[in-house]
Amino acid sequence: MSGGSNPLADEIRQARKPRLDLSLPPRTDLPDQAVEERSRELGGRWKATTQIQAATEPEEPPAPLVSVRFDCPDYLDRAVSVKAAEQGVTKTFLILSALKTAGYEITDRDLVADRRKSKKR
Amino acid sequence: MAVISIASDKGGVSKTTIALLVGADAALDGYRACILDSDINQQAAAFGAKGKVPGLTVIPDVNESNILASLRQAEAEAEIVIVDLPGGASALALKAFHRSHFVLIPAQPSMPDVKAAMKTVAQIDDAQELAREPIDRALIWTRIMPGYESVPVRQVRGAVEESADVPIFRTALMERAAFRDIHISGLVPRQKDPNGGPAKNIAALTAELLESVAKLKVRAA
Repeated sequence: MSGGSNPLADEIRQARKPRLDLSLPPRTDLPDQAVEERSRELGGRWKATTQIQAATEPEEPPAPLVSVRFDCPDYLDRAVSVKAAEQGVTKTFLILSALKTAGYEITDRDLVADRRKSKKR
Repeated sequence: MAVISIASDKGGVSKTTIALLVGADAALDGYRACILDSDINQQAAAFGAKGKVPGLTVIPDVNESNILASLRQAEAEAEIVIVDLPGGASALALKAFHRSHFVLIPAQPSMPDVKAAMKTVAQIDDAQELAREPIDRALIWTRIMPGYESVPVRQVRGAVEESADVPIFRTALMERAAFRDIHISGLVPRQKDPNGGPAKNIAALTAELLESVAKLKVRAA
């Protein structure tokens, strides 16, 4: 606090005023938690606004995709198709999940159950 | 130490102008004055950063999370603590009210301002419940044109002065270019023209406000 000395220049000094006694006792110091809860409750009656929340960090976009084509036995393709249909996910998701389980790094952001659905949004 | 909140449910009623001018005037009278700027626009903080009023401190970025701690610190260090509140009902305002000895409610003599002022009075009543103590308050007319009062303005002032259940300051804040200039120069009217009308207006307002607060001390004794 930069109060302290108050070097008043003569030209801004006004007519002498009585110095008032403003030494009021501070208000009762209630616990912060109680004040917090009660002021929110009272504020709710007035549809009071509360402080603006700090902006959250924007999410990183998903990694760019590349197309991979490979051959596999037809029974494996059928089994993956059936499981994908049962779970409502894509075959890509099941294959990527299996690769992740095998230890390959795939972020949750890039492991999307059905990318076609997120495109529609 | 006295805590004074400047509040209205509406913006643009001269809350920050009053906080700065009264805070600066009290500081120039030798009081240690501190303004807590909780308005999102941070105009008081910008004025304080220019730092041209000895004895006046402006604490920036006071918000709902830190107002109680900021108030405790200011109460310990200053003789006069002024809280410049943002417009609108808020939990922040309720927190400030419950630690205030006095709330000054600025209003232009117009229906929207008066309605907002009455809403603020009701919020102070709620805050009394929180404080478990009475919180004195008064309305002050602001941005009054010197030497002219239109019929609608006279009607609103007359109606409120007759019927409102809240004290009204004798001193009004006049509409003066010198009050807008403080944000450019960082100096208050008293520092530029101590005998001019704007400086005298603020001297009268500060005196009435501080006398109102000093009476609380007498009443409590």
